[in-house]
Amino acid sequence: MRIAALLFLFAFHAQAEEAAPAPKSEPRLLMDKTGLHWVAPFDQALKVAKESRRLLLVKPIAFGTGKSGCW
Amino acid sequence: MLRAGPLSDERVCRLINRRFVPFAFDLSSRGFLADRAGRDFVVKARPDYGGGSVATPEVLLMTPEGKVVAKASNYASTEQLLAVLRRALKQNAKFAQAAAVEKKLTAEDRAEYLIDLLDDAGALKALGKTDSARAHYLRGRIARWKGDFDAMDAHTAKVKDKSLWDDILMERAYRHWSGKAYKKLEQALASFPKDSNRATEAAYHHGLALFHQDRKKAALKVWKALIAAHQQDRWIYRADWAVCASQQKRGRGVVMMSSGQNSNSALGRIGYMGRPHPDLRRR
Repeated sequence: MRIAALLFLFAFHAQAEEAAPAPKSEPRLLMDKTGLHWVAPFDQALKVAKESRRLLLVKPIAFGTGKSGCW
Repeated sequence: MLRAGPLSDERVCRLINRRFVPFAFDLSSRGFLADRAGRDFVVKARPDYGGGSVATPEVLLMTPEGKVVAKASNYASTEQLLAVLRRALKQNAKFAQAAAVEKKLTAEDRAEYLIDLLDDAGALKALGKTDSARAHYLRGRIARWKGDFDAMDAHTAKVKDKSLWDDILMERAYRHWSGKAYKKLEQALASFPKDSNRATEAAYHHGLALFHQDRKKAALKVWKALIAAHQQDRWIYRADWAVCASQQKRGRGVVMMSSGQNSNSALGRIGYMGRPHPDLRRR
């Protein structure tokens, strides 16, 4: 119960969408070095999934992403 | 959390790279990984992710048409995520067809391909009687994944190619890790070549060997030196999680957390929360 409460406290408060365009994510997502072949931005990922008939594996992130590649 | 957890597992990575199109994005438009098109696509299927307060999102497996066919917790273990991936492919076979290039492979490349798909029996069958260093090494790896260390030793003993020597040293070290022979694990990895492509994996396990001998300070020193000296890879992520987890005060109700603002994570990572580090458990 206490863990659940703490998790709730850390729940993400999404920012209101702004008029400014989202930054391109391709080189940023590729900062990850797990060995996964991430595909970005999303339009490119969707195109690859359609052409190769593959499922998308999508990870939305709610705890924040930083310049050091944190998430 | 995911990157240091199941996404740092070789088998998970190989299956995802072979059969899925991985994509990640920040739900916040201000985030470093913000992607408006990705957000719109996901929120259409999961309106709950478009609100003002979102609990830690799951990993979603989605068709290109936008249907969610499976999901896994952000805190899933390697085994749990693998099970979800396998089940999703089985239940959505039209998204798991072999590509044309995958039908024209040599015996060894076909074995690697089948290993990617977690079909170890098929990989052994594809290798047949191929008598090459790579084939023996692959048989050894498959035996190690199965926990059959005698077979692993027998296969790797046939490898005469010295360029695979460090790989075999690492494969053999897993016998000690599996058998909780931590002193032997420490000794096996003490002089592991620093220029090996498996040096970070070896150093990570060297730290584990020390940690499980109740030499926590020495383990932390090894992991911190590893993180400082190498470019990031899956073992660096796992070591960073270990650094954080081994310094956390444990107890009932305590949730592991690195905010990214404090110094717990050598990489400044956010979100080691919700699940104990599996490699630090008393075994």
